[in-house]
Amino acid sequence: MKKKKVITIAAVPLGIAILGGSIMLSSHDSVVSAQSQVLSAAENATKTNLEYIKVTTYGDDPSVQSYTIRIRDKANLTEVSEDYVNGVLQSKIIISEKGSKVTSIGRDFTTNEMTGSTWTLPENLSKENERVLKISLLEEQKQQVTGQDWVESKDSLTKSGYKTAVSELKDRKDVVTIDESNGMLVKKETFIKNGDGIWKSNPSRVEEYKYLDSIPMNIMKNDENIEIKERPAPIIEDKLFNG
Amino acid sequence: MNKTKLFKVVLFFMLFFSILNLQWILSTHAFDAKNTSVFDVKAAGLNVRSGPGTSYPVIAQVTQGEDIVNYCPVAGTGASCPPTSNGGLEWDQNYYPDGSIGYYANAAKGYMAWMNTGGGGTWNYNYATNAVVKRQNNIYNFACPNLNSQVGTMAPGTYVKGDYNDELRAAVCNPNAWTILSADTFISGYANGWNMSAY
Repeated sequence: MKKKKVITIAAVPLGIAILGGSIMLSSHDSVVSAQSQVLSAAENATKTNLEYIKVTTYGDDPSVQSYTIRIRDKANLTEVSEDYVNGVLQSKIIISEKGSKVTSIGRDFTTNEMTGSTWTLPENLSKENERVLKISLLEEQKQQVTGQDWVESKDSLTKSGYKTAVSELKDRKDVVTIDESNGMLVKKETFIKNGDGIWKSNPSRVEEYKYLDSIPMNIMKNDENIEIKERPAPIIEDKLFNG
Repeated sequence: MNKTKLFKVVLFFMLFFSILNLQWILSTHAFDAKNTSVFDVKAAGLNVRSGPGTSYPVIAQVTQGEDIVNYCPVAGTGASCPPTSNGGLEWDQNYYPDGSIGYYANAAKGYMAWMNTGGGGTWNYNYATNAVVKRQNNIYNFACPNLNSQVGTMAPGTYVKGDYNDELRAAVCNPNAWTILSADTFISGYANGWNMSAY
């Protein structure tokens, strides 16, 4: 009788503790680490041969959208980068022939017409380019995400086939999206705080990643029949300087 | 209408048109356009790359004394063009005026490492505050799309200072148009950067 009474008395605070703990836990968002998925996705992203990155930046004027598309073919050692403002091509740089040939095309800001030049780099600089064109464009992204702590985002439940993870730093918040079908990184959005210290609802920068089978034909096409003039390379000396 | 009244009317119109003219000058004259920095290259040699980092190909080089202008297409539309940190270096997208490539900012631009952010780093290029005229040059009221509405001339050897908080700046809509104040005539306006050497 006495033993039963002691158990009954002890059960009351125990029950209260369990109940309280449950309430406390349910009132907080559960934080699930996404560290291993993010690191694995970033690692996978550097393993393909033909990489595509589209970086969109948003300035103070929300109606203005500028983006850069960069495609690197690590097998054929070529790179194409294009700058757009509101969908209009502003400039294009093509590195071809294993890094030895540069073609630079740009829109004349006074006549609005496209103009282009091409040149061949000397031996040592070509070799440097041959070396860097074997490096993944996503290596930098891999280094960045590796140094951050990632947790699953609530949005993961709403996007079928994709997992999102978030990493909050002092001055910025990064959200990455992983394609669950292949475990590859497909997007990174960066958010900054407003003047009141609250995260802005729209990202300030979005990076989209694709893994291609071949370079899109339209990116190599000379749409506007731009006259491309051959000229000497704008080089001081055939050696690597600063930067 | 007596003479005093006529005088007052004439005075009123003179004042009115003066204010109107001043307003026009202030609204359209130099510095109406958004502006960007003009830099003077300090390094003996500096690589120009296709992207902000040493993992991007070298496309060109610039050398000590050359002038470059911080420039990216989006800047012309009012958005910012911040530097990118990569590999312990700050990278800017710059226009490197080159006679062979052309007088066109978008065809002669690339990324250059500004400074070493590792502490006590050296500057590969830095803000320019003054310039000297190399070839006969004109001063204009307007920068875009081309320099126009001439207000003065400058002979070779003329010294000019930056007329934007003492810094030499260029219009983002036309990076060849620099905002200057002539040391000889004290006329300010836009002048062709190709005909000057910044320091």
